[in-house]
Amino acid sequence: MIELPLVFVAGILGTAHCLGMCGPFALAIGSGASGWGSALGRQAAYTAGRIFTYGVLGAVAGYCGSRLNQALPAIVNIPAVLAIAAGLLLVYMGLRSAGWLAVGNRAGNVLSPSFCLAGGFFGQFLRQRGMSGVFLAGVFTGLLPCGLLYGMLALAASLHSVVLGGLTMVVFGLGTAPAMILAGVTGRLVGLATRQRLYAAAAWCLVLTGVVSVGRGMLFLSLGNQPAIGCPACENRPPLAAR
Amino acid sequence: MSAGDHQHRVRHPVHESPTCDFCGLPVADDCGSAAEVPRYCCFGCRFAASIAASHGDEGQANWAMTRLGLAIFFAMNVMVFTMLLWSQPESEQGPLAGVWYDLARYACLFFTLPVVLMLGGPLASDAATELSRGRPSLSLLLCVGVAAALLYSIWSLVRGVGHVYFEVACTILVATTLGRWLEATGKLQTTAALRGLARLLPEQARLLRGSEETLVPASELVAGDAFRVLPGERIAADGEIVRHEASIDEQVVTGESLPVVRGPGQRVLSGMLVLDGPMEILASAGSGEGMLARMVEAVTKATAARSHYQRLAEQISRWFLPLVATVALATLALHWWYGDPAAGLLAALAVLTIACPCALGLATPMALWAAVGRAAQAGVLLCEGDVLSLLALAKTVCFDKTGTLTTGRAIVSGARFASAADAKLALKVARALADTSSHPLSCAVAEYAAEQLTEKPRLQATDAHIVPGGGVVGRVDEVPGYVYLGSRKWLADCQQALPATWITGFSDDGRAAETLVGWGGKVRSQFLIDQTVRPEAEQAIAALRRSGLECCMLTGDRASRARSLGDQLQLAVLAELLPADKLAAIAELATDGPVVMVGDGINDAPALAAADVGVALASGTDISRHSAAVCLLRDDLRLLPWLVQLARATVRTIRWNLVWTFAYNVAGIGLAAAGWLHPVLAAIAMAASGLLVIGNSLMLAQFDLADHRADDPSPRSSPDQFPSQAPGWTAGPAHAEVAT
Repeated sequence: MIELPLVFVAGILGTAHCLGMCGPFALAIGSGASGWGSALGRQAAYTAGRIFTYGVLGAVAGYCGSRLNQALPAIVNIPAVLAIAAGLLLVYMGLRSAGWLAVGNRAGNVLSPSFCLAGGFFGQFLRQRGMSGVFLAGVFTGLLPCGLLYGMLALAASLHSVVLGGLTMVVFGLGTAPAMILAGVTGRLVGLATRQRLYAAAAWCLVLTGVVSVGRGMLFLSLGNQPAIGCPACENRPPLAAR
Repeated sequence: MSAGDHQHRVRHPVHESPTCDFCGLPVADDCGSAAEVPRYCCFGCRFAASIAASHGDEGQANWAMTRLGLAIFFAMNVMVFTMLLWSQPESEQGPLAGVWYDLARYACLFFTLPVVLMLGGPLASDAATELSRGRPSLSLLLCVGVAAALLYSIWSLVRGVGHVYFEVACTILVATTLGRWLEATGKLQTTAALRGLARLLPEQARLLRGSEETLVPASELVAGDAFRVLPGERIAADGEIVRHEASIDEQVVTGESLPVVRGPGQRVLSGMLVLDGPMEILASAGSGEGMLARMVEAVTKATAARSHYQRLAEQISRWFLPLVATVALATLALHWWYGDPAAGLLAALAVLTIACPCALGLATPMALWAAVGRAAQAGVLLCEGDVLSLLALAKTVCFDKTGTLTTGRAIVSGARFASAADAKLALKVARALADTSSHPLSCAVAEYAAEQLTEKPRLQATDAHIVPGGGVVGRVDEVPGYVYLGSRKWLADCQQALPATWITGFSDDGRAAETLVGWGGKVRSQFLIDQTVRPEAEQAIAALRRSGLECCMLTGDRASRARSLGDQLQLAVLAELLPADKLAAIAELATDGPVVMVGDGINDAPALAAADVGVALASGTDISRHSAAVCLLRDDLRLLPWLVQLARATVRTIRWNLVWTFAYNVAGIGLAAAGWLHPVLAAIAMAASGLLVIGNSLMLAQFDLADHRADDPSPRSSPDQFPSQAPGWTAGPAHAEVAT
């Protein structure tokens, strides 16, 4: 699978974005630690929770992609359309992050605290001192709205497989893990200049991932409705049938 | 809906209903439960209350939340394994596939059990509590559904054939608990503004006994006590300032954000914030009887009253549960009949899950509470629950003149004297007589004379008495015989002759009121007295017109004078009305639609009560005794168009909520019964439905006029639309210009 290494790199470079969005959560989690070991444990639990949610979301996206593929095979080439759509979304996200597309963020009002009923729910876990609370905080952080995540989820959906979808998102999550854990444990976020450089690199990585995905979609189109890739373990399995 | 219906509804006695101990919203039926037993309106509030109650014990609170969080985590696992099962058909051959398939099914059971253990308990306990009160609940139906899904799945697992529905059991439990808990949190937010009011009263007051200051509980303050308030403190009881001057933030009572300076002799109200400098206040009411306490009481009464829309929702809700249970059973039976009991079970579960009577019950009170709270923040007190729906439908706004469109303060706009030699004496006599009366015209004359006369000593009137409808008569030292201050007609009756040149001219157009001074058989002086129009009246009336409302003035004053004001404000006027005529005029206007009457609270009590919506102006201190449903706590007529927009937004929200929840339930139950909706999707839709209603209602708590295009010019109402059959109507010429 050509994307997985790229997805991992996108995760690593996307950390700059993650630190901006979820960094304060990581710092809050770290503040409850009593020492280095404890801090590392808490960050690991938090990240594990986040990666778990990414995996579940990826599995759901993969499942939805596969159902779409079964429902509409005669009309359109679903894997191709999903792959191209995901690719375009990633390219768009990348260009926007790189500052090449100036688009106002209109989600601000919807996500303002007074409208966010989930705020109280989420905050309860962040404040908890036990490991289960930290893990659950990670689980629910994974559900927060995030453009990078949506791009990756579109990619997972284009794989039209529960396992591959979940795997893609877990790999993406693993890519975001090192810097987040480091930032949380050391209690410092990356400096502004470094963050900006990383941010630009992450943006171009997104664009690259998107271009590869679009290319894959084009390949599907040229091959007809035959998936060009699949899980090596189940390449010879019969076509998916309705339940 | 006729205006008669509206009137009927407004005068309907307020049905106070029991309220939920967590969110404060009305609960449907009490069923005679004991008062000491906590009462909750839904499962969400019961669950949220259990978390809130354990806040003192942090471990307990954490465990309640962790339980919910872990249940969600386990349910996510169940979903992943279920999706794997869904992606991998049973028919797939091969030993590995078979093992993998069984493993996934057992994993589903393994992850489902903790969810059932953690969340099943509270739901079952809610069902049992409701059942012990003699009423079946949706929780009971959901418990039955979860148990059925679970038992059927375990049976399939043990047999090795058949579908498993562990994900259904998990999703129902998680969606119900999480959704209802979030709903309860949202409900608490809609009532936040109102609860905030009650919290503004300080708990302690600095009681003064002589020069000694004692800190006492604020509840011990009684009328006649003097107390001190330091900068940054709120005033504990209504009263009059006796010492010192300070800036006061009156926002909580009037909605006015700019502080005002108040000093000795001026009234202050409980809840107001003293910004700088200490001040000493003489309490005029006890702590619990002040303005803020009455505001809280009035607003609570308004929100506890059941509105038209709420009664409608309750009627539907009454049939809802039996209907849902019947549809679910019929669905199961029908699918079974056609040979697919498993599909029947799934469809029946979907029916139970998607049914959301909670959203239906919330649709009205959520929006009303949010709107009443928002209005209170802006300085508008709504004393009746149904008033917003009437305001939204209103067609006509009637204004009283004096004290409403005018400030109630008269000023002398001109004076003339029979002879220059008499002028000073006439002023002194006028002042002496005017000082003995509190009539607005006398006050205006006294004020004018005081400005003109600088020398002392002042003349004192002796033997003065007031002749009702005429004026004041008395004696002064420098003039032999009686001196008179009053109307032209009364002075003529008292044989005081008007100079021949004064019979016409000066005040002949009747624009202003006049007061004459006379003695020795001659009228010596004439004062013209004008009304001061409220500066914002024109703007407010224009805004009301833009909202499509017809505006008119009802007054007992002379037609010529009323018309002058009508011209200025481009208002149609109905003048020279006795109190009974005002009621008749309102009744006649009400045939076209609900009528809003705006008056100054006490003088216009009958008219305010007769109108569909009575709006009392700045009569905040009297909110508990006047007959208006709406009190503007600030002397600002511009609150009126704002309130109309808020009322319309509220009714739009209520209607949207009701239509949405009704359509959602009908469509959802139909789809579910047909077997086209998986219970997992149904559970998610059910939770989303309730949250949508709450989110929509919470928008009202942020209501701002700017959001509703109030400044957009829209077609103005034409005077042609006024009821021409009403006697005495005169439309101002400016009005006619608007019409062309």
